Amino acid sequence: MKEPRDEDQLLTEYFNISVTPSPELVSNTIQRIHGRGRIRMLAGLMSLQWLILVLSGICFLAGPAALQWKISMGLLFILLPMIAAALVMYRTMGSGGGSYESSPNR
Amino acid sequence: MMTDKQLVEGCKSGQQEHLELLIVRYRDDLYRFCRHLTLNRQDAEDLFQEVWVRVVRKLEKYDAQRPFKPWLFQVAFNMYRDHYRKWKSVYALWTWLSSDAELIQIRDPASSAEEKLLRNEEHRLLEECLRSLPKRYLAPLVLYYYEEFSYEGIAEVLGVPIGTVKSRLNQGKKLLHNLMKEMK
Repeated sequence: MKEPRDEDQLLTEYFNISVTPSPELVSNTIQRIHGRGRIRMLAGLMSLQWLILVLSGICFLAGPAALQWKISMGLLFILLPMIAAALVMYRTMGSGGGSYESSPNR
Repeated sequence: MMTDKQLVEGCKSGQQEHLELLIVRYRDDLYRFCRHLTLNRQDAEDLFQEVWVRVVRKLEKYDAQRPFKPWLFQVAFNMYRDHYRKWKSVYALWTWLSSDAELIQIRDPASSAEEKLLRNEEHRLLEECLRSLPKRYLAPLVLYYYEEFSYEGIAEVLGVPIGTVKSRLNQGKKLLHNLMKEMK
C-alpha cells in the first residue's frame, strides 16, 4: 500500500477530478431560463390585472348601485383574480412542459 | 471562435444560440465549481441552472469590460451562499443522508485497482472532512486548488479583501488537516 500523500497534492487532485454533469444539463438549464421568464411575465400580467380590477371595483363600489349589487360585484372582484391566478398557476406549474418545477433535475 | 464579450452581447440582444454557446462553454468549469461547493450532484445541477437563470436576468447590469468567468463564479458563489443560508438545515440533512452515494469517483484507466481503491478512500475521507468544514472556508479552497484563481481573483469572486482570502485559506487548510487527522 502507498503512504498517504501530501494533503496539498490530495486537494489538488481531488478538486481536479473530472466530474461529468448529466447530458441534459444544458437543455434543462435553457428550459428553466425560459420557464422562469414565462412565470415572471405571467406574474407581471396578473399584477396588472389585479390593479385594474381593484381600481374598477373601487369606482363601482363608490357609485350609486344597490347594496346587494355592490356586495356581489365586490365578491366577484376578489374571486375572479383568485380563480384566474389558481388556473394560471396550475397551467404553469402543474402541467406546463419545460417549467422550473417539471424539470427532470428537480 | 467567438469571444465571451461577443457571446454576452449576443445574449443581450436576445440571440438564443449565443446563450446556449455560453452555457456550453462554461458547463464543465461551472458545474465542477458547483459540485465542489455543494458536495452533491443534484444540488450542483440545481445550483448550476439557478446561476444561469440569474445570469440571464442580470446580464444587462454586467460590465462587458470585466472578464466573464470571475463574474459568473461570483454569481454562483453568491447564489450558493444565499441558498445555503436559506436552506441550511434541509441542506445539512440532505448532504448527510446522501453522503455515501455522492462521492466523486476516480475514472483513471491507468491506475491499478489497488491504487484506485486507495485514492477513492482518500477522497471519501477528504469529502467527509470538507462537509464538516465551515462553509466560509470551502469556496476559497475550491477556487484556489481547482480553478487556480489568483488571490486577487478569489477576492473578487468572494467579494472580500485579499487578506481575508489568505487567512481563510490558511485557516481552512489547518482545519482540514486537523479534521483529517481526527478521522484517520
